[in-house]
Amino acid sequence: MRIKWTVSLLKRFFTLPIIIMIMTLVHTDQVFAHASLVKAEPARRAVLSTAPTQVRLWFNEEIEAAFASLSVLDEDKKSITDNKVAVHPEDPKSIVLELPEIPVGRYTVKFRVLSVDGHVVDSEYNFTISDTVKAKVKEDD
Amino acid sequence: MIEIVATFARWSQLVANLIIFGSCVFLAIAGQQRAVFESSWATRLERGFPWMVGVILIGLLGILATTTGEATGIVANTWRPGAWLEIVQQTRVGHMWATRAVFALILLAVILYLQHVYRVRWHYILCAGAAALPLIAGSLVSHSAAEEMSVISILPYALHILLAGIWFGALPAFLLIIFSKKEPDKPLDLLSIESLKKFSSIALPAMVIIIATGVIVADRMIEEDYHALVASSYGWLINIKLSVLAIVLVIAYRARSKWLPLFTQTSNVEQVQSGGEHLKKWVGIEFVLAVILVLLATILANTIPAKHAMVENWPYSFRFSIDATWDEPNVPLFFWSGVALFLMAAGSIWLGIKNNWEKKKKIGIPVALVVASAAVALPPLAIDAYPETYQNTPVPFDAISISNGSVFFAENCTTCHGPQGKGNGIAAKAFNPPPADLLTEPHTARHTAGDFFHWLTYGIAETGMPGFSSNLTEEDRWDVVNYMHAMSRGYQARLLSPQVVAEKPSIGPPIFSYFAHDGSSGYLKDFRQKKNVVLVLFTWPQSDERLEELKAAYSRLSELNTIVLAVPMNQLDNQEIMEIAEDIPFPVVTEGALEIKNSYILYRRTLTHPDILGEGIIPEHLEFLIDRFGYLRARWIPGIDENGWEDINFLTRQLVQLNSEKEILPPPSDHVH
Repeated sequence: MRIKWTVSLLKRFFTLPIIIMIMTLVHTDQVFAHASLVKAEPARRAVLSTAPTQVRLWFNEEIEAAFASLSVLDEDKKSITDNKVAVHPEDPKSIVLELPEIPVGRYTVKFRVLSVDGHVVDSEYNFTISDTVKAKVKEDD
Repeated sequence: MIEIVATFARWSQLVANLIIFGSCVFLAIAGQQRAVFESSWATRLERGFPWMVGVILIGLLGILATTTGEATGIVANTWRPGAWLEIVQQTRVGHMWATRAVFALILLAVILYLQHVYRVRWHYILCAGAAALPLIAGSLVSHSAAEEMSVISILPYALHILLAGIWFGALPAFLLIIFSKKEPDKPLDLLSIESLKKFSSIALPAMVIIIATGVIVADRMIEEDYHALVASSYGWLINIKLSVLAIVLVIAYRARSKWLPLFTQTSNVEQVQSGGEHLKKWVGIEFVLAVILVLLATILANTIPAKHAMVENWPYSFRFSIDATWDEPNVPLFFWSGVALFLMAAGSIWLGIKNNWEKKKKIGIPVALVVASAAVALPPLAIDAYPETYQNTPVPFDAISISNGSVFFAENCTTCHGPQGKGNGIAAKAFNPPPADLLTEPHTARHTAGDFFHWLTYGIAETGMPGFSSNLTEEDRWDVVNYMHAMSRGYQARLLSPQVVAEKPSIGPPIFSYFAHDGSSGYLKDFRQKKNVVLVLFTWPQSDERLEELKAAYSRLSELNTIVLAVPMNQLDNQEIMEIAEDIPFPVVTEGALEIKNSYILYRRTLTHPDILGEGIIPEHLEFLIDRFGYLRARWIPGIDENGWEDINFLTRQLVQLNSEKEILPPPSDHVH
């Protein structure tokens, strides 16, 4: 009897299928999504023999263009360009900053982006432009 | 500060939203008898609804303000309505926020409308639906971008919050019924009794599903990082949440089995009074605890889950590890004995209930058995641990790191550990015990990356190994850890041959980035889900003939969904590479070659030529085959492998095999553990 009653209750409960369907989407936020940098060009800690013409970062989520910042600093922590960062026209998960010609040295890429789900990714990394890369290869051989 | 305000805002609007939702579901279920709607408790409950919507709206404003502060990175923007407006207008989060606010206003309209009309059941169904809307919109904020969205992945979370809403949201109704009984010495009226019973019957199955889904959710958030349960905010929050839940369950059990029957089913005045008093007190406490539970859930949802949590400082001097201890003598025996004792403990609980043991015995025997099982099984599994043991390496397991690590290893470690890490350096004989063989013994499998980092930082006093914190930076030491992993994995890769072992991917190759002569650039990972990669490490001009062969076969390889990536191993300047690559149809790497070489030569060892003596011999030419899911599947070294890919048909057969294999998950992580 009790079981029957519970079953009838449950049935009644399922007379709200719309609510359930809708509720299946409820409050899973923050649980799955973790915006993060998946790829960078130049790569983190790369040592290059030629200067890159742009810095491009790829994230696992789409980026809000209006709230993205990306700067490249030289060894004195000075920004090397006034160019504005843009979301890549063909890939909303990627941002790109055009660079002027830059000399040999160690550079820091600093970025802060807001993904469309409201997560902020805020980090930095270095890359180096070196004219001794080839010499190093020679040494190694 | 912003975080506290944000948490409070999320929590308050969630509590209010859940109460409206749960109350409406309860009223819809209890309202089989229309008289329910006329009862004083239902009227009072409803009177609270507009206030609850007010809380939702204020909570939403708080969420908008704090989101603005976080998103713009400028704290002052939290209090600047102009900045809020920019977020609402320009971002998807803002659009979703606006939707939530509109839904909250719709809910307000529905509730105000209901206050002025004659009640029928569907009104509450409508109200529950309207109460669900702001919640849904809130979740869509994330889901528009979440990667793994499917019904199966979301269902446990959804059921968890849904059922929690139904249980938690019905508690105020329950309390109002008890508190609205005017004459304490008389039994409750039949209508209220029916309603209380209905709550009771909804609550039990709801709680069972809440717990089951909670276990599934927690499992997904923890994965295998159980250590984080006792060393991270997320872990401690879960522990606190479970403890609060345990108290709630004890109260609910007592209420259901004892006080509720006293209150509703007897006509003895004293018993009714006693049951009523207990119910008022304890269900009141249960409600407060439930509010705390929702708060904990809100904080948990905004805390980095255990699987991603960084345990910077492991607070214990030991840890338990089956991997590191299983091969020691008697460990399996102790472990299984402990498991047997644990099963006996479970059995004794069942026996106690079945035979109605007295209380002391009923609790004492299972507790004693559980303690005994832990005392037998756990000590043999314990090994030394350090504050750094569970630190995640900040440096990915990639070619740049491995290549750097190889340089630091050569400079600092080879005197004792030998040029190839075999533990046979020139100074090795001076040590007792001898330096660890990092090449052929599975140290990297038995110990965490953090353990190695600790040893590299502080040394191992009892063996004479020095610490390197003064001459290697933190990043450098992680590079050495990555190099040791690559060395060890490379040794395991002896099993590779030119022949793909069908359906048996196991080795994740080092990831690298490159720029190539044809202007292309990218990551090895870019080819995942797309193409197989034949990675050709060549020496010029020795590999000239082979490059010609690959050139001739390239269209056939391309047809088999395969890209060839050629990496020079010797020193060539860009001019020379351009000349070599002039009529080569596939990319020849110009930037990143050194790092790729330094990493992949560790994967040169074969079963017949393990190459563990002396300095080791680097072949002039190596080819690797990486499948389209990111696994290293085969390797050909001319002169060492008897049958090889000089026969292009042999190579294409391997590609056909790879293309016939079903999709599998990519190698688990870019970081060593």
